[in-house]
Amino acid sequence: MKTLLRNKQWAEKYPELGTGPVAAESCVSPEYYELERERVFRRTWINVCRTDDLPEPGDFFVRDLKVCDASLLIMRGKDGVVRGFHNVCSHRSNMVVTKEKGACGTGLFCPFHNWQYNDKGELVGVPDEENFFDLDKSRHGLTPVNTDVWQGFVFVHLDPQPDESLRDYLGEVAERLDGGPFEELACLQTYKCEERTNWKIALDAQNEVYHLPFQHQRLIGHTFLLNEKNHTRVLEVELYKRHTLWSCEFVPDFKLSPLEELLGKIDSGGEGVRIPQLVGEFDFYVLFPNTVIILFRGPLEDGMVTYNFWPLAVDRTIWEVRYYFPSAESAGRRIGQEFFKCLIRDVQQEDSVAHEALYRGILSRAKPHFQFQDEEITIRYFHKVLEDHVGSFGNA
Amino acid sequence: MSELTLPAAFVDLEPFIAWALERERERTEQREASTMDEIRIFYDAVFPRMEEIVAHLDGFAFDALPEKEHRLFLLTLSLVEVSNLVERYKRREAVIAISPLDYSSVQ
Repeated sequence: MKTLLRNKQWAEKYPELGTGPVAAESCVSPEYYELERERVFRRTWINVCRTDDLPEPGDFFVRDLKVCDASLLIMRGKDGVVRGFHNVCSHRSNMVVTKEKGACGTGLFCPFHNWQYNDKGELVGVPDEENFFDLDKSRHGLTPVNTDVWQGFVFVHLDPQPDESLRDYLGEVAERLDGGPFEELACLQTYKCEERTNWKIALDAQNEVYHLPFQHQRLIGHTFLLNEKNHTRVLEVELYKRHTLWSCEFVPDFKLSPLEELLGKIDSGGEGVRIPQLVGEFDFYVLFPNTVIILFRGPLEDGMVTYNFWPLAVDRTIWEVRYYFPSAESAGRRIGQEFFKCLIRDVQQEDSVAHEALYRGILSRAKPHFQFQDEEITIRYFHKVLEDHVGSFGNA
Repeated sequence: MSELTLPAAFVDLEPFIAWALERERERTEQREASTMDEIRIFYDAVFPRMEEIVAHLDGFAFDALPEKEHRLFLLTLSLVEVSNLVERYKRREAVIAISPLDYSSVQ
């Protein structure tokens, strides 16, 4: 065990952040939500998918980015390059692609008048072209969106002239995770849950382990390291330029469920993939504003979970969760992955109830402030970063 | 007599073949549609056989499981599906969560 069990150690590490109450109004204010759309989501890199979503040349993936009123078409050209476009026809702005995933094949055809685009988003076919007026097809390809890839994570930036590169945006997170075995991890499952909550409430609720012994008492209450009073203590907290990391160790005497114990004893052979970049045993990175990357140590192999919180409105959010594991080469290994996935899935179904209850509570305005303890420092920091982008609530 | 659908060594699990479901969503629906007693009977039948089942399945290439072995594998995924309910919650009333059917899984 490397974790220090001291109280208030993170405020000591980051004294400039302060320890006072934090305003809650930003989580329920429609006006603030409008400002977030303009000042955050349209002005930063946003993770929209992974390259696994478009594995082959010509494959595409569509991300409906409601918070920016955008439908984005991410396509791997036959040259292998991943490009992003607005999924909008040059003719009369119809949505070109109407499914989430597919292959470009001989071209993408707008269902309205059959305008045809190739794998690079170029306009290559217009029915009855002779009847248009000075239509220069070379000037009417799909509108490109700044798109870049890091470790298989595809990001877009909706500003035509981003003020920083993806690499600069990622900063210390990329430094920590570069060289990780991301390519050896495959998406086993995606979940989407639409919640009546603000996107920040859902994210904040995930961004600490203080609640685990209480809200998730039955499922994982005794999983992460606890002090002598049975309160969680994380191993490490790092506050970056905008992003954050907390990392935990598992309790050494973690009480396994009967099935978990049994699965842990079954050795299906084969070397499991390990993630040497792990700081502890459960590393939780928040990439500002709405993406989480979790890396974790398993008994036989390591894995990754990602979250994307997709705002639909001030009070509506889709929580997208994806589970990544090394491709299973045996039934035994695959059953172990299913076990972990279903355990965390059931935890998340408990979380969704809390996300909605929190929203209702904050909306009542009975409590204008959040009271954060030391283990909730990454939430405190998130709200500071947000305020740096949007403005504080009173003077936004 | 209807044709057996599981490998010979596991014919005693035939009564639970309704749990051999391909998609997680279907397994969740089966769990939700079953009583706690039905779930426990299923769990109590499959759990003690798990080591034997996995040893049997691991005798095959995972990406090419024969049909009967594939069904047996799906039974184990259903065991995982119900295990939190049986082992940790123990009773339905202890679950304070959104309806799992509101949780959309894309496989």
